[in-house]
Amino acid sequence: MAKIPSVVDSLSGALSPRVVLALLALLAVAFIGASQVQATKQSAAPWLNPVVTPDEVNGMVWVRANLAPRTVFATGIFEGELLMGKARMEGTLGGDWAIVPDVITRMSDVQYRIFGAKDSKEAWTTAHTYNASYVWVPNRQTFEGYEWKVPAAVFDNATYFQKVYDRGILRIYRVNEKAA
Amino acid sequence: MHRDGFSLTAVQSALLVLAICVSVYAHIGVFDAFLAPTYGNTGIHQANARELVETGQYPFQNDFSYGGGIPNLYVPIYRFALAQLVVMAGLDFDSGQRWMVMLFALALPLAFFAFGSSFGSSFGAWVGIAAAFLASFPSELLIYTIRPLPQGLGLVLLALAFALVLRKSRAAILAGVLLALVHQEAAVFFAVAVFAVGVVGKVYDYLGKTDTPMAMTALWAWAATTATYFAWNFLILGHFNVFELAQFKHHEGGPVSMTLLLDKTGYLLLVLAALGSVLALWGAFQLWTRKKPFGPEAFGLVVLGVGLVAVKNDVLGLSVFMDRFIVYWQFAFIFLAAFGLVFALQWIAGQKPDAEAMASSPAGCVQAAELA
Repeated sequence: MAKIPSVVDSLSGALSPRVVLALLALLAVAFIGASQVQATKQSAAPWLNPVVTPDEVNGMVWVRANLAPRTVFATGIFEGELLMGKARMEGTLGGDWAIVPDVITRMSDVQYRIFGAKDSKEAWTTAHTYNASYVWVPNRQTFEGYEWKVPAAVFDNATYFQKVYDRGILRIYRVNEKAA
Repeated sequence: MHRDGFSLTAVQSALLVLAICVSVYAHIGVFDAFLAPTYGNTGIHQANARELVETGQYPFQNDFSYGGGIPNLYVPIYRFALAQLVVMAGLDFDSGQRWMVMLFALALPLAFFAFGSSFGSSFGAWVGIAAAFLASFPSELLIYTIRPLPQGLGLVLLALAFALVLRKSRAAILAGVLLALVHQEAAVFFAVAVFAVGVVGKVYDYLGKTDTPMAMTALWAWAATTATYFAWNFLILGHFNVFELAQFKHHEGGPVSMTLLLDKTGYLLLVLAALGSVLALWGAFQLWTRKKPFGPEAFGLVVLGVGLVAVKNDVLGLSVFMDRFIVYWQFAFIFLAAFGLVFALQWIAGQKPDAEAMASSPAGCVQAAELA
């Protein structure tokens, strides 16, 4: 085992002032880099927010037990993604918009004529336009392409919608085929 | 032993492991929330993988998106990989998505090591190690690889594909084909970048009476990538018209300002990339004056130029995906920054390049540092 003084001697021989300067420069880059990685992690953190809630994930148990795959729900973007990913359902929004016909009109309609409808009838009519059999209504802000808003209180109207699930912040409504 | 003839020393190997640890540390947040990340349409990929696992069928003509009933245009390899991982590892889909991100975390520094080490020799090994660390610096690259999306796999493949082109390997053609079936945007950037490298390389050869085999590899990789994507488009939609996609019609993406670029990249990487660009320009000029083939320095500069055009395509009247291309531009930043950092440190340490070495190495002036 080398004695400490001999190690110091050999190091001092190898470490010319220029090598020491290079090592200091490398240390400076490493120091700034370490804080950069921390800042980068903080920048990425908001992208890890799932948006949807545990109550909604729990709602998937009911959905899978009671509905056939590919049933269409009126949803915002994140809720549509959750339903397709967890239960192979389809949402009026969510997924790849590359070849969706009239996709801007669809987003506007779902935002302002279902979840932001002025009354139950408008929500029901628009849900039918997009072949939605159910509506997914969490009691939190949702996003349909234009703005984050809490869904309008238009679904508790048995003439147009039947509540089939109500746990935690999630309510699921079946869209009546005909107005009762 | 590296194929270009160098072995990693124990110190280099340890540093590469450390770079992987930094990447894992940066990505570990994917396990923080009760559910895997949902931003970026992660559900649609899970849905297709789930359909494959639960029914044994892939829905080529019936996408889940926006009420369903439309052809499934998104390229499928990532979804196949997720389904494979879930089945083989016995995971639920949520865990499978998170572990997919951890695979990106492990593979990304290794892919950037391969890309940076294309300079060859021990100098290239140091550039590769620097690139492996620098890959954890830009927030945009982390944002795209910390979510379970095809982008993550596409970005790993992009770095590998660039490395294969630089090594003049025919596997670059296969990498282009794979990339075209993993992620469209990454494939577009790769195709445009290698096309530019091929054309600039051929013009360089014509004017300088040199021979750059890398240029031909780049053009083959461009042809394979482009043909594969258009074949997929035709298979699913029955036509080749990509300009009818919503991304083009509705001009998806926002403009890129200097503030946004700084926010997404960080000062350190930009400063090092600027240093690397100046040195690469000088190195490429040295090669040109000595009638040596187009090297990695010029490759980095061409990709840098392609990235600039991509993020400012609104100036050309396209206005498609401008800010989405920042992450691909960062590939050139990392490559050039790693080159600049290693060159500068060797120069400070007194390892000056000499003219003879500059004239004899495809890595240009920088390899001379090792002979000084």
